[in-house]
Amino acid sequence: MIHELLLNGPECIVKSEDIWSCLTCDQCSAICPMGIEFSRFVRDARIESAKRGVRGYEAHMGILSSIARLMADSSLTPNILGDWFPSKLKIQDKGEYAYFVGCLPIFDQVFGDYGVKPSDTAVAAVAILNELGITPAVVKDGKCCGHDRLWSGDVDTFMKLAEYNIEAIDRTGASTLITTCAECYRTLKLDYPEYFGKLPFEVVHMSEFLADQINKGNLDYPVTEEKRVTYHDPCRLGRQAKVFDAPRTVIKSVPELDFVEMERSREYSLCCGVSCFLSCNDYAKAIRADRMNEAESTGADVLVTTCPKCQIHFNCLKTEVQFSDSKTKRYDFEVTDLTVLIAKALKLI
Amino acid sequence: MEKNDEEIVGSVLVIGGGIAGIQASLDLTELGYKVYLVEKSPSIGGRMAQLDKTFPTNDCSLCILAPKMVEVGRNPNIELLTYSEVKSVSGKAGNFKVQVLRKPRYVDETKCKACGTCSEKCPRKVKDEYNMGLGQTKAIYTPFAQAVPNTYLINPDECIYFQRGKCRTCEKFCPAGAIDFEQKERIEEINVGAIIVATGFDQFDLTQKPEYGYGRYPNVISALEFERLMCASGPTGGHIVRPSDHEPPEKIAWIQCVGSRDTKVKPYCSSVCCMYATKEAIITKEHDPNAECHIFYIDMRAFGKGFQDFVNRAKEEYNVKYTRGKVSHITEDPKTKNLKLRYEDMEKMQFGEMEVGLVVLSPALIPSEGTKELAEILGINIDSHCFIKEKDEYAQVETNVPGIYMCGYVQGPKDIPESVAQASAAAAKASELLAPARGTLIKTEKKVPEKKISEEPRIGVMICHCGTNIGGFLDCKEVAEYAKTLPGVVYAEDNMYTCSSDTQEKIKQLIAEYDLNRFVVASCTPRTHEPLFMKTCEEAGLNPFLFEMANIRDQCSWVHMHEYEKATQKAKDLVRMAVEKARRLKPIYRQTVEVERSALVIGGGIAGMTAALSIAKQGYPVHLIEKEKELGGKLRSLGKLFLSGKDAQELIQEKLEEINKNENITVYTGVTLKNIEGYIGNFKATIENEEGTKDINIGVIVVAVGAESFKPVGMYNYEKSDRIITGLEFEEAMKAGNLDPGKNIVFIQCVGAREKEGKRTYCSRVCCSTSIKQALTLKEADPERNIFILYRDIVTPGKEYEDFYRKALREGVLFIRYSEDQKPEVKLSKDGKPTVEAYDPLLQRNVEIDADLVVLATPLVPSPDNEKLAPMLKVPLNQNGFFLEAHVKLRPLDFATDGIFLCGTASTPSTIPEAIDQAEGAASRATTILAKGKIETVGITSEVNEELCIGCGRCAEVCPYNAIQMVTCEEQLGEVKIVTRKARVIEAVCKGCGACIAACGSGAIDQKRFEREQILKMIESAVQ
Repeated sequence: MIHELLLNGPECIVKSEDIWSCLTCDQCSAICPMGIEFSRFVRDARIESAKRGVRGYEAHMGILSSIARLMADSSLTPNILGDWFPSKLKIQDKGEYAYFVGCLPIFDQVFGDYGVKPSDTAVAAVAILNELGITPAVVKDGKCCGHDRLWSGDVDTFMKLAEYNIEAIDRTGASTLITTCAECYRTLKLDYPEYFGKLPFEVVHMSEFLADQINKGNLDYPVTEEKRVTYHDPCRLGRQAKVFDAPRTVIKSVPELDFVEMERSREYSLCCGVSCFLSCNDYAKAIRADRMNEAESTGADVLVTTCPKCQIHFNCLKTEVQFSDSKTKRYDFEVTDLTVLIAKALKLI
Repeated sequence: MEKNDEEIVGSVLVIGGGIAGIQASLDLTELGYKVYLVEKSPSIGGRMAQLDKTFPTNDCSLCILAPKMVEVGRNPNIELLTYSEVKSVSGKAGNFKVQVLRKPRYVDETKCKACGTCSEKCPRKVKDEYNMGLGQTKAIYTPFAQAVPNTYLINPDECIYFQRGKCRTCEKFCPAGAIDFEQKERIEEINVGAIIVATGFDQFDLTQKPEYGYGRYPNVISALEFERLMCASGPTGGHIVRPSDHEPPEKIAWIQCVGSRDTKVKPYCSSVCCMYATKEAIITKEHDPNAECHIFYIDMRAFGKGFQDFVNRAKEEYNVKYTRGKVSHITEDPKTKNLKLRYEDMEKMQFGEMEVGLVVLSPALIPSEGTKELAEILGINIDSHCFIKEKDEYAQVETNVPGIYMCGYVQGPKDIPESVAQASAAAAKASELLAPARGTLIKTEKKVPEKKISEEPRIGVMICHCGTNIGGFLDCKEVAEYAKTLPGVVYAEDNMYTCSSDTQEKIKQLIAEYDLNRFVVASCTPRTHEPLFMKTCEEAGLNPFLFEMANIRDQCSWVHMHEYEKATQKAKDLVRMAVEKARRLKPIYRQTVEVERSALVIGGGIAGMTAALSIAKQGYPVHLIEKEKELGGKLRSLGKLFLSGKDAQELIQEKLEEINKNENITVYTGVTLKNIEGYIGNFKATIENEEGTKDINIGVIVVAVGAESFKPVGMYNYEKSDRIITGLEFEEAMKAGNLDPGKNIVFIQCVGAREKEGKRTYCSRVCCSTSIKQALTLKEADPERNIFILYRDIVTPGKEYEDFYRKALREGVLFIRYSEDQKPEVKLSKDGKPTVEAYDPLLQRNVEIDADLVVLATPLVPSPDNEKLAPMLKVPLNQNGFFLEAHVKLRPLDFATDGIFLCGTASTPSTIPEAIDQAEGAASRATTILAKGKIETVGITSEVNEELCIGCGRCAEVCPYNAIQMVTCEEQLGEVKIVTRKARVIEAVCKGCGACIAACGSGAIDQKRFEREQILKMIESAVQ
């Protein structure tokens, strides 16, 4: 593909199917001795394709991309907080720490019957922050970070969302922005500065924030249930943003949790099977099953991750009839977000 | 004697006892300096001692290394400090004070005879480091059988006594009482004038590449482990078997570049692996012709002398399969422990899976453990990979600290011949610094006057038990008793260790007491021990050539281990034969020949200039002759050099300035070399230039005549368009500023090189880097240019060339691979514009490039003058027409003809830094002769009986050293005078090999100490 592009220019890429079947998980880049970032090449190729009106095949009838495009093009200002957010949690409009919700409540709506409630993560996050004496400025009017738009080649939509979000976050006056989503983290930390220059706030993933708090000795866990736990490195947080240690520090800080690594971990982690809701097919499912099998063989009670998409995708497999039927039950472990795991260990939720 | 801190000390510390350290040490003593050789492991030998065979000749590694190790061990001017480390250094160039930590062996080296009893009895088994952890040794051990020094040692971390206070079994059984648990580590302070670092390499930790399963799958091993498996002295006795079940693998795969050329692990090319993997595959095929051998590689780097031919042989003769494509990962079949490899074949553009029984990984090689700490102690700079940084790209053996030099792998990835050459170069540099103190610390032994001996042979015989090595397998006492009955034998005894120092004293006493005039020792091999006994005889006042040895170990007890009586009888036979010879031995006196203490350097290019300067700086006059009107050689045609970007003309200028300042160098330009005659120490060269004809008398000669650039007439329409030029023509034109390259430039590599047949089968080493340099220069001048490099393999070995290649890739130079069977075509339009057509294997279709300029990268070829020069010097050329050195691996700068040395592209295509190293190395080699001032003959030379000689010349023809001259002379036969030829031996050059004796039909030539009479009588007595 690369050679073809170099010799013959972008036109040859436009019709290529290969660029849409790539997961952009960067497992290849992890091994590449020349240090080539293949996912970036694919993204740039998709941008060229998008310019020529080509779109990849979107799953879930393209609803997520429709919502993102709506958000970008409309003069509507969202209010992301709704019934899902408990009133007893303390938040404010301005503050030193901002929390970026992302698309979590939207996922609740779309993936409700997949046995997963992604907004729990946001609830857990704010609860933990409160416990630490922090009243975060939740970015109520935040829009989708634009990750999927960018990686689908739709740069225009991405730029609109990004420009808006930077301004919205800036209005909170925060010096530190915390997010619980691996993709928002990567996008805010690496892609926003690439397109818009240095940001007026620092971007931190919740796992990094918690690891820091743990190292300072600020988290005190009541005695909790003993469980065996394994951790899945999301592609965006792990290989792409290079955050491997923080989530592990956090898990290991809970004394009753027995942490085991899967066969492929850290930069060799296997992708959850789908990215940007594009090209969800048998290959995606096979890759996912491979990963879930690995989790199963660790004997873990809980599979923890730090990306709501991974969480959704794993639950998608878990709740398939063939696996959830009592006779042929498989993957009989919880699939949980790290922040929720910790909030539960702290008995906050 | 306290030395003043300002005084220059005539000794050198060499850190590291591998082949580089060994070569540097030997050169230094010959140059007149004392050497302290510090080695952290218990024996010298380094990595080379662990290899089975060496490419491209497949010589047994230890067999060619051991004689050098022995030479170091018995050299009175090398103090061998093994099992020791450098702890601190102070002072400056010319006068360093070094503290060396001597680790305790817990064995007294003056008493230990290396009999092996302690190790046999020791109950504690330990993983064997020499065998890369594959075999087992004991807590008390010697690293390998040929270790120098061959003193055993105890590993205190494994020894039961040191760990738990019990055992001491070794002490109970040691017949020499050599065990000493009370030994402590101690610091020795030494004072030296210069330091040479030669600390070599390790394999990197392969568990860092988990996709290959090293450390998890038992049948995935590293290259050095495989060497130990192949080696007859290894843990499996030389049977190549899988670690999991000890069965022979039917299919073996080698994976190249594991960790090398990898920006995530080691970005450089380890430079030796393509060749050693090929060698390992060939040796495997020799062990088992039915084994399937597959090598997975990215680019095949066979750039040294004879390397490409070696790889071709592997493919054609041995059917080794080469697949271009890296293996992405390996999985294991849990039942059979076979490995499944997944790879992409980049020539067929197909994915493949292969199941093999054994996988050998070629790991990245890294500077050895402790290099970083040593660099800190010495204050020398290292790069991020712990290679030591050279002071300057054109002074590779110098570090940033004056007086501290380096050589071998620690300077950068290189193979054995390059390490040996660089070691000699480091010795030269140290010698330049310490020249005022030359010879001040060298021991010269006082000769004991020879005693008068009686006519009648009075023979003394000693039968050695060699511990249990001989005594355990035959009856030494019986053999000694038998010896007493032989005619001429006045005294005979058997003893435990004839080679021990106390026995040497005893031998001297016996010679005096019994008035012995011949001595026979029946023990081990003369290869290692004859010089020792000969020296003992000399010290007793007995001519050393009146000594004879019988080998009743290697030739008897070792090969007849289960036949006590028969072995005893054979030992008796061998002793009888030796006594028969001894009776007929005559004293021999070595001749000394004076050496003319000056040198001739033929060729004034970068190599010639460097060699001349080095010899001159060491204090000897040099005559530098050059055929062109100016010095500089091929560098005069070059612009900016890779990798430094330095201007070639600037480099020439620097050398010229030094030459002009140095009074020891006389330069002759525009010279034709008319004749050379003579021999080592006494050459005469006749030169002619516009000033007339002149005879120059010199002692040594350095050949630095360089090479030519090949003009590919008939290839790629070269001669049909001025837009199709060679790499050198491109360089010259760009330098002159009279070429507009245009926008689209295509380089074609390997034009007229690496051919299947003919003289140009080799890789010319420098063309890939040259084209990359030229491409980068073009790109930097105009980034809009489209530059293509069409290649077969990209050859960028060494520590920084891979980065250079990556730079070109990042700048947008497009590399398109072509195969030997599907070469590109250059078509010309009517107005002479070239279009290049090639098949792109990645796209799997043809591409057409309209080029403004096509640059053909052609090889360096030998100068046509070589055909005249070689016979004049009486040195050989190889099958490609380059000069042929004495030994491809261990004597790359020497000719077999004594006194003549070789460097630069006259030997093989080289980069400029390599040529400089070779030149300094050749200077070192040449100066060892000038420093000694005289040559001693070997003694066992051949002699011609001129009465019997018919002048057929067969002896001169077979002599490998050109030591026999055919001389015309007049003979008076009665009243008739005839003109005839006679053979005359040049004693100074004769090595005593005996080939002439075998060739002589009339029996006119005979060899001292191995005379026909002596040998025939030995044979007769054998069949008595």
